Amino acid sequence: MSNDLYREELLDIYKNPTNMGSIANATLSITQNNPTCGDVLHLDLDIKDNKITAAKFHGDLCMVSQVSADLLLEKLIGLSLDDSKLFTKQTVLAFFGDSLTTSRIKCAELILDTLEKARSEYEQKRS
Amino acid sequence: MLSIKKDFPIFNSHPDITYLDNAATSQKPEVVIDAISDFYKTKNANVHRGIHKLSELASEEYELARKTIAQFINTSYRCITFTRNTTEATNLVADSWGKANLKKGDTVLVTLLDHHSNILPWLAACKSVGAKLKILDLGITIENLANISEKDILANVTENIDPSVKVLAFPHASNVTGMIFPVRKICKIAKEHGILTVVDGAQAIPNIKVDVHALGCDFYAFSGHKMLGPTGIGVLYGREELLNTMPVYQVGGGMILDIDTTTLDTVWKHLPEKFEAGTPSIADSVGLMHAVKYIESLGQDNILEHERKLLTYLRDELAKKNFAGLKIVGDSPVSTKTGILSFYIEGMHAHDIAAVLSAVGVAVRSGHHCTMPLHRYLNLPATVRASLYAYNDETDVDKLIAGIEKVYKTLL
Repeated sequence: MSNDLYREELLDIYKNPTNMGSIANATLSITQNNPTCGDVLHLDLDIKDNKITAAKFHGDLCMVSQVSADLLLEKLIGLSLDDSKLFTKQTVLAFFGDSLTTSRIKCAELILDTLEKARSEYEQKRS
Repeated sequence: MLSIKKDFPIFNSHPDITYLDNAATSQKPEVVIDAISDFYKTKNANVHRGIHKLSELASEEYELARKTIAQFINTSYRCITFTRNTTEATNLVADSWGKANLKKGDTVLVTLLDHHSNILPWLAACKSVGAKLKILDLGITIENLANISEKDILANVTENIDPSVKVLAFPHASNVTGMIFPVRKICKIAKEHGILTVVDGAQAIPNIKVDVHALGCDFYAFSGHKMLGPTGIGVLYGREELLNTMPVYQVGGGMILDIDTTTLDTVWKHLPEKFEAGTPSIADSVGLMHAVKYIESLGQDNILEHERKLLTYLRDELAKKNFAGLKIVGDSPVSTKTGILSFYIEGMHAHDIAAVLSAVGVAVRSGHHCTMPLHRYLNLPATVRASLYAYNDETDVDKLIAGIEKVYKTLL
């Protein structure tokens, strides 16, 4: 039940996000929409020697999409953008225990869609 | 006040759910559920094909449903085409009439308060023939949305009419603000300029008495599922002379009269079967007939009055609580609208609000409600919509208010 979705630990991350913000002159700036609700996620990445050195996000986001982005960016620093393929639906669902109802899974996945777009734009940029 | 919750079995299955998502779809009374079940148990066969007894029974029921719905909106059964829903009905008009009659340089007017289902079919028709689609803003801004008058709407429509305008598509009632459009007056202006009128009645017909003849519209579309009927059945009313001259929409069984095997020339069936290719939703049409009978037994005037009393109560309660940052979208006088109240709370996301409400058993809709142009134009965030219907009561409103208090405790 989504009752425990709004539990203290997740609300705390939502109200005090660690990785919210933007990066001036970022290597990559990606914007991705959630087509089911119109939410927008902006992601800035700095990439040096093929490693992600900084990652920030902001946007019009619900609690689920924001917490999912915030927690996933924690795991991203130091990896290559290609490594981010390792993060799957299961990775982001795990942030919420089993408290996500079907209608909110897309919200949690918004950061994954954004990273997929980032990989494809980074490829294009390099080639 | 009406007191009919007991007629709706879903509230026995879910006694703890407060259902305020009626603008998305209504619940179904037992008589409708039983009528569908009874059709399959006692009359099921395909229609208009067999000459056996069951097929005759099914055909009679299907045509009785059509006649009942025709009487309900004061027209002839020949003018009633069964579709899947409002969307299929508007697509039928845009695809058939639109592509046959629109040409490069023509303009189709829709409004900012239209649902995507009355905008996108026209956009597709315009694109295919090189015509222009224009979204009328009706003179609304975020500041005056609550005060928009009939006069403003009529003035905006008139200002935007020029010789290139061939179609005006608009809703009978908004699915976001509940605002009721002056349909008769708009149609009169359009008629004076030879402009086709296509009215999306999905949000109006559940609670407003519709007389298509008095309204003077060319087309009127609505869905069964928002008016206590089943999903999978909708209605397109069209003026007979227009339907007669329009090209067919979908083709297949049930609507062909003859095909010449040498020349491959085809002759289509007459109305009302002309636009109904394939086996229709027979049982659902019967379900819709019983929904119409049930609504008539309550009286649409009584339903609207009931909704407005509850809406007044809801607005009063919200005002008493004086929730910080809660804004109602288009908070016009209750007498100008159906029982819809959309709102947002500054600093909170609509999905989170709806999820917290769901956790306390209150069902509302969050998002842009298929009106992205309106939300974008007014720079509105996603909104939360509470929509009332005949079976709701003051307890439901109390639960919503208590739910909003919980939202503030949780998210703030």
